[in-house]
Amino acid sequence: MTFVRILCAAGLLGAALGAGLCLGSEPLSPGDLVAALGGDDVFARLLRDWRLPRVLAAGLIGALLGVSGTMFQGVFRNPLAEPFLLGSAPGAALGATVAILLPLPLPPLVALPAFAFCGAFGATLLVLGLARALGVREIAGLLLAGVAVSAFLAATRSFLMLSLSDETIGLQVVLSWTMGGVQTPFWSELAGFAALAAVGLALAFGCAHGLDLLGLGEDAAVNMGLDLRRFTLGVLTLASALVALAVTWGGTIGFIGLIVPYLARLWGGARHSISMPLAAMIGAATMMLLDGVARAALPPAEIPVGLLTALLGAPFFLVILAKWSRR
Amino acid sequence: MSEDIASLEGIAAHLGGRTVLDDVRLAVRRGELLAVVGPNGAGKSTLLKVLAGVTPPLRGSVTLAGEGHRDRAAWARTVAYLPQAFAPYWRLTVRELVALGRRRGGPLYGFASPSPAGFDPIAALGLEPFAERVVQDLSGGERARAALAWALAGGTPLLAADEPIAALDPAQQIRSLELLRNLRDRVASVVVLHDLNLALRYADRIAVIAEGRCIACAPPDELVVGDILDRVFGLCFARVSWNSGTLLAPLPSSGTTGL
Repeated sequence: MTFVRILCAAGLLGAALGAGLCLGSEPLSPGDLVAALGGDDVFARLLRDWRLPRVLAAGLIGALLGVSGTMFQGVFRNPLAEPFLLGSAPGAALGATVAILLPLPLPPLVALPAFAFCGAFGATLLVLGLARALGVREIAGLLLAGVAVSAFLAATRSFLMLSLSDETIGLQVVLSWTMGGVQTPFWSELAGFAALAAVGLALAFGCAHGLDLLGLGEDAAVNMGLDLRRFTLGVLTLASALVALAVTWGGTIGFIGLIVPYLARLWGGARHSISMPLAAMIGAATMMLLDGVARAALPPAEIPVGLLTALLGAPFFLVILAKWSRR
Repeated sequence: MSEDIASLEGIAAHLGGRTVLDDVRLAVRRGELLAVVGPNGAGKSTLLKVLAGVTPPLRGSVTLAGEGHRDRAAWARTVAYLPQAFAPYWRLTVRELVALGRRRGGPLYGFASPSPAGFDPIAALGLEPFAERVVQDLSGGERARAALAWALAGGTPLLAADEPIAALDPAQQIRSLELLRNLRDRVASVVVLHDLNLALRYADRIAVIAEGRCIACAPPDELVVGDILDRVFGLCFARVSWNSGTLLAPLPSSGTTGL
């Protein structure tokens, strides 16, 4: 049964890849797509060197956000925990903004993810620290602390954008982080992105059993051998790294980390060893499709994909909130 | 091989700045069912948490037989702890919950399979009809049995269960305690019970906890003769002889403990 589910998710992923390649300001039929992929004209080269890496990057971003959302939800034992709402993604966006706007002695491909990670991890710790200092124990309070920290980080980012951007550093570049927009990598960049994502996802999948144990309650998890503090810190660090990597290439794309883990659990059950790989595949498929829609809806302009995920995610959040409140 | 599977020496523990255990000494023997009784707030749950390695004691030590180093893995291999009101957060089926229990003591990272089952707690606890159902969708009694199955699945030599039968109907309470008695050769049990008559009937020994101390630990027939239980609970128990045993029937009293 598990194998069938994984196989179905892989099929969905393949279909989303095809749909993502077909969608765009120049839509293609499946037949045209096959012909173009095998061709050697300008259009075929554009498809292979522009649209294909873009679609694959969108898929990686979706997988990273889906898995990081599953990790946050596993650690906090709550389906409402999400990188965007917990401040992690806005923190990463602030870090990326700093890396773009400040002259740093580091190549952009190093500075961006490094600063994004520091922002994501720092924001997560800040939210947790604030919640603890305020004596907040419920997830609702944690999310409210996340909302406050996110608003502060967004304001700081806006201030930096207004005060530091000039003719040499386009405001447009930073705005894409603000609204969520998938960047189009060169193949060499995509290879590096994919390698980092693969390592991060493999490490995340390795935490599945610990997350299962945490779902039994802290006392039971400790009795089963889990070092609660170390494991929680490790998972939050890793999840922040995944968010940072996703934000580096896609900006602040909200709600994928909320919707996708929910769907993965609904489909694959509660065990993280199943739900995490499913979340990676569903997240990848969702982002490839939404990014395609973002490119195709208002040609030649692009809708920031973060707007689409927010349009879908906000009602979804309310549905999960309603279900959670009835528990 | 030591007769004791675990022993607690001079255990002191605090909870929220309050002393909940003070100089507790208690040994759990191999192959016994040890009932822990006492009034609410006496420190029974904390005692079990210390025994299970969940709460580190402020003072004193816990010795686990056969485990030179008391690291987390040693505790996981030796003592299965079933918390009070145990409830998995995510929607696991009974079979998935038991499979998680089978991985006790194994690697915490990666995709290791559950260890092969030598004993099937699903069958032993009559959970086959519910095995594929989600634990949260079961009745309170069925959920309690599923939790017990999870705790027993790891094959530890010691089970520390905090009120595991509180949500069960009388028939299931008796069935569960009979199961623990029948499994004594495989797993010794330390079980917090509020029903003194069940403790007298099924336990090999009863530890009486009051005001953070273990004030007695003796076989039921020795314990029932004295007035310790009356003093601890602030009640006068009538002793009723029945079927070569004794039943305790509480009589009205002032309601204050006589310690």
